[in-house]
Amino acid sequence: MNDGLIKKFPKLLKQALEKGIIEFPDDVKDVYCDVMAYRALSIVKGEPPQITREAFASQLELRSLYPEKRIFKDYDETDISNYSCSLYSDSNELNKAMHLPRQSKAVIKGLVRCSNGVMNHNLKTSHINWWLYDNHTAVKDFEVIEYVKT
Amino acid sequence: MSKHEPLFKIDGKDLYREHNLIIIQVPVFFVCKDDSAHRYLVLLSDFDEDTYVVCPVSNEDLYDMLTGKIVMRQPFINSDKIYFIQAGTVLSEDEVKLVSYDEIEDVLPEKDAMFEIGNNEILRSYSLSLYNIIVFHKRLAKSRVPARVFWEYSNDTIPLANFEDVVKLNALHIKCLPSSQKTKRGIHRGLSLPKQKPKSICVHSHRKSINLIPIRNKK
Repeated sequence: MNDGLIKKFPKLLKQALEKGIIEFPDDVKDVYCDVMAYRALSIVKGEPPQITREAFASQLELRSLYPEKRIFKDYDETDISNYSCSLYSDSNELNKAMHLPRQSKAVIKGLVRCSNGVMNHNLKTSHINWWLYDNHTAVKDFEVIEYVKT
Repeated sequence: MSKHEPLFKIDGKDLYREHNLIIIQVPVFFVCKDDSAHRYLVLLSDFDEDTYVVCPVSNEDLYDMLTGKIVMRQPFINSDKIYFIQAGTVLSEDEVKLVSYDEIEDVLPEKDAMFEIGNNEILRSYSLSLYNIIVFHKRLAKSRVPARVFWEYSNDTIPLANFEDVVKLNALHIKCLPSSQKTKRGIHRGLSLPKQKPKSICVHSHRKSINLIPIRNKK
């Protein structure tokens, strides 16, 4: 991946790439057709929930937003997938997430566009790793399609 | 922050995250393992409050849950202990208390909810490794000879409880060990090498010890 593209990523990902801590998998694409995808959210704010940039934050970005939370304590900074926003092109993959009653949750649906970041898409599992650019505008391409309040 | 950092401490045992089962933006249902290879199911009960419900789980129950043979809450029902953890700033500040099933029932997965692996290859592979571990232990229990099995790394000896790492590495072949004909000059032909490259695998029977040297380590 060229340096120009690397500069487009948010600080955390950019620094890790520049330091060589991580590298993108071979199947990552920066040019691709729009893909309809779904993402489950558990950090839901507002009612009805608002889609903010935080909804697309990677695990490591969330850790920097909530450093005190135990759930992020052991995160591996050498795993490139921890820097991505995780989505599924098949909404059925999110079914199991809906079985946990005390979790506030929402499902958002929208387009994964190449103007917003690079991605790899496992067609067998429908899973998408989306590494968003710092100036992405994904918020306007997604909508809440399901919301469960606790 | 290290991936080898324990996530919780229960009854003096450090619990390390082994596998995330359900991620809703953050992992909300996952498996931890202690140094003795005992597994625990962990449910993030409240992200804002940083609270967790944890129960020891057998490999069999975990496998059955993952493969849809039992409902998702069954391992909590089957467990003789359920812990509620209020995470502190550091591990030593955690509040860990034993709770009854009734106290945490409303945070558990829905009554009839079954886990769905779906097309998740990583989860399939994880459940398969659990299956291998279960089969291995069953075969080992039936086996006449290996009374104790150790996996030796340099000067460290890891007891049988952690032997499942070998199982993941195609070590079902170990079941063949009692019939030493299947090994040749102590070298087990079917053994895959783990990443850490153990110096040897030593099987102690009642009367003899067999040192197995991974083929690529053979000089």
